[in-house]
Amino acid sequence: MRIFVINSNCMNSLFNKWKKYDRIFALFSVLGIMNLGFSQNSKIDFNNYKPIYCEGDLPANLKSLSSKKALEAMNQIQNTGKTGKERRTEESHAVEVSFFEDQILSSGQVLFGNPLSDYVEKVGLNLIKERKDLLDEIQFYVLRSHVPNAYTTSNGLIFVSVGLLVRLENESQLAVILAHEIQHYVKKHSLLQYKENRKLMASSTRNSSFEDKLKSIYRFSKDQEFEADDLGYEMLKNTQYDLNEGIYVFEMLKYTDYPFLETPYSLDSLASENYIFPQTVRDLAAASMKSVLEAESKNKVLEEADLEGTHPSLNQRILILKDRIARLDMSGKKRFVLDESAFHYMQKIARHELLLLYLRRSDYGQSFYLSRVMELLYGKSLFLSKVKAMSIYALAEHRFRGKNLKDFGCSVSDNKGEWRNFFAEINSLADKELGAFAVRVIWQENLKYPNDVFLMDVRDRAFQTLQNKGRIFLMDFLAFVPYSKRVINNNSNSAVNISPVNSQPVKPEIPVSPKEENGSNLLKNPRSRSQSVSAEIPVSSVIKPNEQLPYFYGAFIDFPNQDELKKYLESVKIDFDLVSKNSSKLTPSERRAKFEKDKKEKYKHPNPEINGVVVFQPQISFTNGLSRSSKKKLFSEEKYREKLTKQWLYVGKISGLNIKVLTNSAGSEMTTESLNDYAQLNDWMMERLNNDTNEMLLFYSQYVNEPMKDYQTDLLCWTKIDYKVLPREIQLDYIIYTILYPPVFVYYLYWQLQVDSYLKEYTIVYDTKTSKVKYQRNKYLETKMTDAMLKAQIYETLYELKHTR
Amino acid sequence: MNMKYYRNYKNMRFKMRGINFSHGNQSQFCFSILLNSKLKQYKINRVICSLFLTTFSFGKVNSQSNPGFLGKTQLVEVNVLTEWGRLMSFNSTVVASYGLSYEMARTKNFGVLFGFRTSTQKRYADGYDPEFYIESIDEYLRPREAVLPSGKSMDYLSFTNNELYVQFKRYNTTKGALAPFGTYWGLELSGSQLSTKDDRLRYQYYEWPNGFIDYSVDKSPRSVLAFIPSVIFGSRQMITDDISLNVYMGIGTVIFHNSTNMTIYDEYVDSDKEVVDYMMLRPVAIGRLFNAGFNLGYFF
Repeated sequence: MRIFVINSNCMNSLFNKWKKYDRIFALFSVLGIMNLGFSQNSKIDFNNYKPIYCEGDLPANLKSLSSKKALEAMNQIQNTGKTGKERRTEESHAVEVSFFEDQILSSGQVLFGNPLSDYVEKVGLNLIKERKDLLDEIQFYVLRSHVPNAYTTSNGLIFVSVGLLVRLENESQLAVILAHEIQHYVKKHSLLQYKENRKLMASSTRNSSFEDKLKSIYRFSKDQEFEADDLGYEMLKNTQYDLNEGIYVFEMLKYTDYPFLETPYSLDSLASENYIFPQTVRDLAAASMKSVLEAESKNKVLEEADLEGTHPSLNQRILILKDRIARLDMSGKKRFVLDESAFHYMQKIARHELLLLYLRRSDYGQSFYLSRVMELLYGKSLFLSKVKAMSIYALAEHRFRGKNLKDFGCSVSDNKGEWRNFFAEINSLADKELGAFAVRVIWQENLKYPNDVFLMDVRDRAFQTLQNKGRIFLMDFLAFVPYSKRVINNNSNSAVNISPVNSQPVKPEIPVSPKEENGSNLLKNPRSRSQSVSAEIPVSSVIKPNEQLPYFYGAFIDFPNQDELKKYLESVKIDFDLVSKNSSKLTPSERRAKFEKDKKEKYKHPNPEINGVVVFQPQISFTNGLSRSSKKKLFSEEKYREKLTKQWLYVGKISGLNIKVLTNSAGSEMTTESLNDYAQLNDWMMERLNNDTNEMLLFYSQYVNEPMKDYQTDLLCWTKIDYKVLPREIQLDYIIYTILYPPVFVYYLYWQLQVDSYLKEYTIVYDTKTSKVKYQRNKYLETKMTDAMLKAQIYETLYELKHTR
Repeated sequence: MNMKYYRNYKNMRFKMRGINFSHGNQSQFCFSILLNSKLKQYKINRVICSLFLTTFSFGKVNSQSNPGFLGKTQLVEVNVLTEWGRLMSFNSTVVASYGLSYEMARTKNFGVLFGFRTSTQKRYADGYDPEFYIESIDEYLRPREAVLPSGKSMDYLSFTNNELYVQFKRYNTTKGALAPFGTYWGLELSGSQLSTKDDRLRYQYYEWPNGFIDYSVDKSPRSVLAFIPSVIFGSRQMITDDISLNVYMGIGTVIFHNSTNMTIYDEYVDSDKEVVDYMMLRPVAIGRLFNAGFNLGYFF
């Protein structure tokens, strides 16, 4: 089922793999694995979890060029005898789908051959084991996307996202989803909708507005959804799967803005005896929550009134399903047909992957919250400590840079549930408060795993950020006087020993597997936020002998090993006086002179440290103003992409640099290993693009060292070309001139028939060790993209890179 | 010829039409020639030398900021320069010069080329096709009277043109050029030596007495130096990674020469040398008005 509207972001992150099994092998695999069961715990180390990638043989679909497959599909359509517009529409559809599927399959976000995708495949094959024709045609894959989604393509590729897998409760729910998607393929809904959309949008009925046309499209799509639901239930009726779980699936889909599991989590739960958040933090958080809730209540859109969506109302679908179930005998149906432990194992992997996906997207608020949920669910681990440390470090880093944390997973309006309260509190912390909170959390995690290199790195960077950007003197943390030791000034009226009342951090209640009788998984018992009842301690009433430090300086007082802390702070503290003395500002002429000198030095000899670069397969976007055919565009882009890849390799050899191009387009050169390398480095790149601070530590840095070491370089390059060929506009005044001077007409005709070519090149090279931009280049050329031109430009890029200091 | 004859020249005020030259028996013909050089060769040479020294470098390619084409920023070329301007005023003759050149580029958008070329040209008598010639002259040059040779087979002056030239080019980086590859425009400065071994002059005059006078001129080689700048527009494209094809067009003319007291368009001459110089300079000056070059180069 296409549960959600596929937006462009989803489309870009859809991954699937063609894996062709014959019927016997498919049956054997299902039976074999059912018998063998799952004992995968020994394979994946959840304590120090690493992202999973593809395993096994490459799908056959990726071994040949997309253009070749597209041509074969077109030939098949021609052989059916269809003519005219219908044939052209189907050919366009076939070509677009061929290219699109390959693009998704080779993007590095599709999983195949690993426990996650294997499980989904097993459940899917189990559903269609009676349908011999479908066994050869349908493939099941997992998509590394946080969005709960599943969809089908015209060629039978069924994708299920990680974001959906983490929310499922049992195998039957997955079966309901897969059955729905299978029916979309069987009924060719993609092609039908494609045809209908083209017809509707192309129709020139004067009376119908654009909105009316869109509503027609949506109605058509909703009919397809109902049909897929109905036929899916029909398919499941004959299996052992419990159709009642379909109701819970629809219920679950109502709460996709909520975390997959909730727990009360507030800043107060992270407080301690001498580290207490003031009331102002709670007040600010409450105020932001109030405004958001008020706005939501005004703009509340009932699902039943969702006339403009491509999917029907979930409540409507629930009612239909309930009506269907009422007429069926559900006795003997099971929630788990295959091994139950396999499901939980798969889900554990999926939830760990989800954390990584959030980190990659720089949704640090969500990853921080979910790391707490996962700790309660699966116990503490090094991986979860790293996630927590990284998340809070990144939030502090971005806050110090003046960024709004709602862009980093702390949006109060976009999220709902328990984590929203937590985000509101995080947002209400000031810069230094958040910075101190961050180093406290990181220090705490570092104490658990003192030898982990990544945690140490995060710790060091967090303290540096706190000093450099927060301008905090680290030794003040040690100068903070515990509340218990404070005395009141004799001038005040009260002579009370100011200790915070009820200063023990509140322990939240965490239901492990929440379930309600009405079937809703997530919104069962509203998760109440922990309410800290600590007394407010006005700073002004606490008098230290010499100074008054804000509350957040008490972040470390309650930790053990204060000597070790002191030693560490001594080692990393910055002497700001010394820094200001040493720094000297240059005058403009001095700066200019330095620039010229550096430029001369730069080109004296190449930088010996730069000996190679790993390049993502060059992207190209080709716009041909001479042709409107989308088919031709796709074919041209593939041709240019191949050409670019060859040129990069060729010029790389000449330049003396060790160039490795990570190809991710379907073809004979692709292997599973190359696809995995691409995926790993692409993950790093995506995280880097989402954290464009040019100095922040990245979580995926710990995973790219290995592939980069194989390539013997730290440099990663991404390049794209936008190439436009546009006909010249008719210049009427030129024609008039040629009438006056006829001999010029020939030249004018020659000029008019020329095309204008524009080439825009964008290249960026990162150092994966430091995550800094090593070299960047934007070029805009009014020229044709000839081989010589490409070679010259690529060589120039590599030349400049070689001389970059 | 003695000075008296020279003075007679001035009095007679010969018009330079229908003057034919040929190789023949050489006889002594002496007359003083005013060596009022308009072309200060020494200064030109100084300029060329200084430009040469400031731009030429034996440094390694890697020490410059220009990557060139796949690391190559120098090339040698075989040149063919065709002069088309003569189609306007003379019989349909396109003259070709052949030569070699060397270009190097230290920066991405600037290149310097040094070259040598030579040609052997023929200068036919004026007024071969009088009516066309008159009209052409009227159209493109100042009006003149036609002097028609009558009943005589036309002869020609054969002269050679040896040139040393330098081109300063600016490459268009917005069109993807990386010197010395790509499209460019530039300035060519050429020092040219026009010389002939022909030693017989025929003057045609229509003032009294009407007719021709044949004279043998001095055996000493007659040559004139000319300075010919041109503005050029061209493009160098690669055939392979090492071989290039360079096509350019230029607009130029003679602006300085060391002939005595005469402009190349002035039909009044005061000595045999001026006659000869005129006969050589004028076709080059007009021919260079529209010129086109085709070069085959090798990058290194």
